[in-house]
Amino acid sequence: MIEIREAVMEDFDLLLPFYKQAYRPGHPLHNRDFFYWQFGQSLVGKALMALDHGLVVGHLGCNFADGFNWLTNLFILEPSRTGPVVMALYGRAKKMGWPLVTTNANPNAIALYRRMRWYRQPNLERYCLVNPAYKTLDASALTSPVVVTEQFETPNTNHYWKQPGLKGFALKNGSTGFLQSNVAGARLIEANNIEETVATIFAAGYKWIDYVTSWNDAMIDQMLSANWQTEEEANIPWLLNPIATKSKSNITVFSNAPMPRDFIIKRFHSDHGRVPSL
Amino acid sequence: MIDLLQIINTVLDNKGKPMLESLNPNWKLRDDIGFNSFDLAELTVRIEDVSGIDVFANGIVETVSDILALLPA
Repeated sequence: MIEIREAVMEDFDLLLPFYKQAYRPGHPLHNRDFFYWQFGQSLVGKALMALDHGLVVGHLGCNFADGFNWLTNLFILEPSRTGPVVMALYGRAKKMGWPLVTTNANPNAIALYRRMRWYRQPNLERYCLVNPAYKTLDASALTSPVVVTEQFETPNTNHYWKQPGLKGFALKNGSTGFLQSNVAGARLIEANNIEETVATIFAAGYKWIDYVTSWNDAMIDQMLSANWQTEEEANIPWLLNPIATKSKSNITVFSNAPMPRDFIIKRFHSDHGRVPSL
Repeated sequence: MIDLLQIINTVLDNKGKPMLESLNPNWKLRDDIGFNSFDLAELTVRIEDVSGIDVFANGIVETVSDILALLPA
């Protein structure tokens, strides 16, 4: 008999063998602190698990932000993959009440959303800017470590900033993001006064900066005017742990209800912003 | 009254499989009718469209009778 239930912190030891089977070595969910951050506090997130005779055979993560339930980490072990487990996980997630959204779906999941008749939103867009001092470098050199001594204020506006391993920055102009000196980059999350923000980050020694957003974000126009490039034009890899020099973001977005026309998806909304995966 | 047979046959027809003449309540959706997870996704949506009920909201549904028990008589 298969049981669907919400995981609590005490279930981490039960989930860990599943996570190790499901995900690559070093995946953030192998870390108890990361699990606590993502799913251990019920106001911000829950993990649903399917148990078959006490063993985890399926998993769906739910994170709650800005009126949506952001689904992540859907994984079903092979023997249960063709059965009803996945629909039971989605059914339970829907019962939580918020509209469901998911980003970064793999091809199998895309087929599932098609059959569930979810709404396909435009893919997220990624824009990049290389520090002019380093504009001749290739991808490997651009992502080689830098030593940065400048200290920035740490953002604390939402749960995202408590993510284990995240080194956030908050500028006085309202821009926020996180810093990855090990790959020489800064990843912008909330963009304001873009030229000042870029100047501050590059003056600190970072070689590049990127920004991922919805197609309807008016900030895109300002960035293009300031010589930012689409990720197809730039040569800054998306995946940096480990560095995959040719990687692009290609972030799909599906929802089970229409999303407001002016809603802008930020990195802190879903798993495409999880630092250890990036 | 929801015609579950018709809904199941629509899903079967969409995947090019022979339609059923009747439903046995004991049939398993996967083993006896041959539905995979994608078919179950489509079945769920079609049932919800006509009944407003997500048959999977409360857990695992495996047989025809499991679905019938959740639908209004």
